[in-house]
Amino acid sequence: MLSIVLKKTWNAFHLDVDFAIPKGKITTLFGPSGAGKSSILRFISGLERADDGMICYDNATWFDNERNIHLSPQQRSIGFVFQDYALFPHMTIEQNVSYGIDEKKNKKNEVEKLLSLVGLSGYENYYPSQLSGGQKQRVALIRALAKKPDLLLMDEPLSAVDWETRRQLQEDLKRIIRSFGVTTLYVTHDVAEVYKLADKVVVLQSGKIVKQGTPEDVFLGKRLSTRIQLAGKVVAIEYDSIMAIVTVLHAEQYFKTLIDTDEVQRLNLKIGDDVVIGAKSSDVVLFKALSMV
Amino acid sequence: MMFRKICTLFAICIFSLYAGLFLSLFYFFEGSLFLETLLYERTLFSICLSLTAATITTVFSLFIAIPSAFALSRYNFKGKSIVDLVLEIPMIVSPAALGAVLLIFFSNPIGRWMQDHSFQIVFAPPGIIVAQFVTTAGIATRLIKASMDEIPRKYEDVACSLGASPVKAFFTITLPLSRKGIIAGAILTWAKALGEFGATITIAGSMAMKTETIPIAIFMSLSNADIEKTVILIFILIGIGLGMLYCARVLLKKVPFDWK
Amino acid sequence: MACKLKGKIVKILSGKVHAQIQMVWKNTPLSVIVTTASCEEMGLREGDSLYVLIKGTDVMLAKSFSGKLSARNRVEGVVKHIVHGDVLSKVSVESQGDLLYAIITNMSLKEMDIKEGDIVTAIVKSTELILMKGEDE
Repeated sequence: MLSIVLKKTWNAFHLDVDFAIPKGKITTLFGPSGAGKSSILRFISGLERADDGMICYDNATWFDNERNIHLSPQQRSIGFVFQDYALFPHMTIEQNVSYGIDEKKNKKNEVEKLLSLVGLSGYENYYPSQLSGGQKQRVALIRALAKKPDLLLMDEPLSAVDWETRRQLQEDLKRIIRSFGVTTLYVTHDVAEVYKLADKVVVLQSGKIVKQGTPEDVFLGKRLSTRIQLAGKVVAIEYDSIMAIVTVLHAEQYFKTLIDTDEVQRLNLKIGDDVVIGAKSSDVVLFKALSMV
Repeated sequence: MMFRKICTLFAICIFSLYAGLFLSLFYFFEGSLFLETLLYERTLFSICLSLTAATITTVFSLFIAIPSAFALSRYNFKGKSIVDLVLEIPMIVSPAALGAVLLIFFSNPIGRWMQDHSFQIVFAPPGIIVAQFVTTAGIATRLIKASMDEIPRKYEDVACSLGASPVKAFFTITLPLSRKGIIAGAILTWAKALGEFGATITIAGSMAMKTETIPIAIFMSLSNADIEKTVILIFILIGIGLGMLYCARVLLKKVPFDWK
Repeated sequence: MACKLKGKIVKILSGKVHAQIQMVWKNTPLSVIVTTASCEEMGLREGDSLYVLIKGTDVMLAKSFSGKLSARNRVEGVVKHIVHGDVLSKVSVESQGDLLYAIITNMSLKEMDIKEGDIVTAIVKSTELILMKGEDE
């Protein structure tokens, strides 16, 4: 388990958090931009130092202000994936991936294995500029995982790719992270992403943790009696005279929901908003797929 | 369209100015004298001295400028803005004044003591390098700093997160990524050192076969009213400069990528 | 959700699959059917206060209501406001200080001659209601 207690003040902004990340699980750090999510990652990685607090991974202390312990990034066993990948532009894919691998022998083998894991075999001698956004993202991920870190930090890694690619990459990320079994802290501001990836979500708002738990618990879950709850994104809103049809995309499926026009205004619902659809299980009709023909 | 034409006209004006100036040299150009002057022992010495001094200066300048530029670009420390300002002194102060400052420094007891325990600088060949170094090091630092500022910090951050020490990150990431800027800085330093006159003549003097670089030779022959020789020396200086620029172009083209 | 009434659980009748939650909202009894699983997950207990969500499209209106009807939830109120749409209309009904909405067809509206100030009964089946705990939204 990684336990994190951090305090930092920048002018009028105070960051004050205390939370834990379960081992081998994906935890998302969720919140609006400017909430302090990226700063927390930088403190955990050792790239920056907080004013006060403590960061411990199991029995190892990475940071303890009182005892003046502050390990440098290379002394902490971490992998860090940045928002825009940050692949070294002057190095080939092979050189990028092997940058963190210490041992000299087997390096080539290791890189080949990693590349095949993300479906990029044969790209060893390409330069980052020759890859698509999705491919770069996958290279950045295996580069961070190549030295088998204890902790993987990801700072909105999918915010720079288009929407379609993002869905696909979320699946890939989940699969790869699971296969490494690495403890992961993933920063995002996308609810659907939290639902898709996270075992645990920590909600951050202006430097404070406001909620934490499983995505279901945190976002709605145990508060609503409906058995059907789908997190998705609003993709269209059409107005009728008194009702509005709100189309929600969930897991590549479109769901049309009928909502009072006043309700749309009260919620200030816009295209792109993250929403949860709740429906009573008694309100659905069910057919066997073939009998529909 | 009108604006474009006016701007182009200005460009043509500048070009004509330089072209006219250089063409006028041919009025006094004596082809028959060219080889003779070029192969004259004193000229050959000047060329060798100029090339050697400029090269040594460039090496020293870069050796100091690269780490300083990195520090100025990446770290915050007390008095950083003052250091930044002082680096601009060579750009705003006349080289002759810089040379005079050097001369005064090496004539005071500390300066004399330093010379006694190393080698003679005032009115000696090492003085040329000192003069060129002083006029170029600041500019080289500024130039390289500018190119390092353009490299996003995240690359070094990633390197550190991948287990690299700051030293490894510097040599494997920062240095290769800023090589275009460093090469450009080296060329400018070398070219500026080659043409340096004011500071050099002030501290190293103008002794033939000892401290006479090409710019000084040009000045000397002009003051002897030997215009034909002056013209030939100017051509030699231009030739070396153009040759260097051409080499630099070829070299820069071999730097394969542009990371943006 | 179209409208939210804050009520209190008086009794829970738990079956194998479904649970009937009997509540009171102000003076009116309400009945909500949820799955037993939801009931357990939400940790519902007698005496808990929580919201009952009613979708306007699930509400029917009756005027001078008499006779027998299987729907458990009946709320009497006064018509406050009517918004006419092309096929459907939205009728706001005030009852015990809260507003309920009913989305009904223009045909029914006309047949029943519903006007502002009329006294009507809003009727909803127990299976249509949704329960929500604490906090807004």
